[in-house]
Amino acid sequence: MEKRKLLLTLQSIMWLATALCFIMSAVLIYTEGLKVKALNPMADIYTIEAIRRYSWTPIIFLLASLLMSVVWIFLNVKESSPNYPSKIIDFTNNKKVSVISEAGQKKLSTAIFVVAVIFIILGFFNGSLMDVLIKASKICTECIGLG
Amino acid sequence: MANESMSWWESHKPTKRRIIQLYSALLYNAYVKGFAKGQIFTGKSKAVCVPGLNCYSCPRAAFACPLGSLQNALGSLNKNIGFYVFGIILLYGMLLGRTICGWLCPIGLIQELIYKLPTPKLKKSRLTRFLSYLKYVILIVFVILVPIYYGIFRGIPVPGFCKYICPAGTLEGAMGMLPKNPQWLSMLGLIFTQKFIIMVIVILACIFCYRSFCRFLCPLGAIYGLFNGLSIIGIKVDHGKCNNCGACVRKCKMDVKRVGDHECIHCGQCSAYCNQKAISFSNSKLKKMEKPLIILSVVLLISLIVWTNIISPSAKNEDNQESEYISASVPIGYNVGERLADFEATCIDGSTFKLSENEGKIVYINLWATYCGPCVKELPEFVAFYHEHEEDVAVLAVHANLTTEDVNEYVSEKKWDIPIAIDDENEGIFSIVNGSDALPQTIVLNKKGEVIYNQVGSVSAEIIENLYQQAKE
Repeated sequence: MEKRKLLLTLQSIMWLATALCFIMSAVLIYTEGLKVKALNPMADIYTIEAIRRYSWTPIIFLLASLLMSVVWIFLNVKESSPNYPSKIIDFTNNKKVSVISEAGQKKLSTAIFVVAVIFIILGFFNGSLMDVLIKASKICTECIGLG
Repeated sequence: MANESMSWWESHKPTKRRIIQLYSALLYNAYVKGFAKGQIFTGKSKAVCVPGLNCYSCPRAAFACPLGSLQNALGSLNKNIGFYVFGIILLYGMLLGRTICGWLCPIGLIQELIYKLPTPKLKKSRLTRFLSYLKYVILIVFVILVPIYYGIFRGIPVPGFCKYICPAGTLEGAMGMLPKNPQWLSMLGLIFTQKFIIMVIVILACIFCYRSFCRFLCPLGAIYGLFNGLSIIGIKVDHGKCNNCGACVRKCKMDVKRVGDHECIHCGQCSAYCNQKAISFSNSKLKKMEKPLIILSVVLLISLIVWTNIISPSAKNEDNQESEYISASVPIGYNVGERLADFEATCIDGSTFKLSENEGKIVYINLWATYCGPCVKELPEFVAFYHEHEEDVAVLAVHANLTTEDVNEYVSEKKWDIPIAIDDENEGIFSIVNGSDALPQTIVLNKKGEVIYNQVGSVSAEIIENLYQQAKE
């Protein structure tokens, strides 16, 4: 195998292993936490101790992968083949005539623009602007995965 | 040597697009203090939706996320039509289309930087083209149907995409918040594990495959893609010059079939490969205004950083809260073992709830809001529990001071007959119990009036009962 390819494959394996370590750690912390919670409903699933116990392996892998990346970049190890396919896939003529004529497109754009501005003005008065502010001013625990 | 270093710089210097991407990321996340404090910005600018995907629960975010706002708007269609959100998304789509993805999205920038890691790369193929339609399925199911179903038919706000998929929320929000708020670890469970795994897989995919999240999963890109043919600013092809050689489409890393179609992010890289010089940006007027625009952008960024971090009343309030916390005398406080300062609240049914009058009872205070999904799900547990232990238990549910709908009507509809109050303008009760920006939060006092529990996060019926047993001891 070409040396460049070998080095890049090695780097790929490192990233895959890093991701796998992170996933396994999360799963292990979760399953272990569930067992503890089954015995004591007041117990937390994720604890600092459990995170400390399971996070060092993925962090070591992450640091090693990053270090390897830096070295590879420094040594200019990168894929030699172009990052596009050798032959074209699903090319539709750039000259393809649109269903709507150019003048029709302009009219449609103007109409959408007017509707958008009217909606925004209506939003100022019907309270939907305030709704956005209120919801964005509180942390959405569900959104960030906290539950 | 000098020449060599210059040539290195020439080949590595950031492009105009990269600078604009970085600028947008900084602008959207101007609240620099957020990470250090582990708090989100709550100033008025949060009413403005930015064009790109940027979680509004990220501690640095100074604006709102259009996708999160859209899901909230769809979930409350039966109460208030979210004209503002619909209008702003239409406006952004009409003006810029997917130029937003290519130039103004922080998540796009992160994906492109990750893709630079040296590994073999997955080239686009019929499979990636097929997968690019997945984001439309996600748009319909998680952004439209789930919030509408839960919000309108079940009365529970559930932002489907944010809750089950969005890796931006986990990366920017959870990873940014948890180090400064370790007490929130108690909230983590199945959803976090699932979202963390999704985040890791998305990041891994981005190493090998150009903009994987953008191409296959992002519903915001799917929405903007619908406007691509109409947008005012973006890449356009001069059909007079184009000879249909296909070099533009072949060398594009996105799954485009032609320049400017719904998959095109208008990054403009194809123009470099066009021998006919047929591809250019549609709006040449912007080029003429380049210098004034640069000056305006720099002034805007600096002003925003100063305003969000120093001038905004929100930033000042947070500072005040912290100093009050530090100087609070030990017996009165909100931590376990301390006593809450006395307060009186007027409930929505007209009755009053005075904390000192409930001494000798076990007191549950629950902080909630109608727009908080987990809050709405757990409140019935408190209602049932209250009726079971009415003799020695007092319950007060305190709605956040800002409301998006008529709380009285909402509570009547749900038939929740426990004392419910809305916090005052100055967040009097929230500050007494150390209510955070995250909801729900539950505070439990034993019969002596000492705090035995004060945590953010949902509580189950089992936990409520356990706390009762603990408070009785």
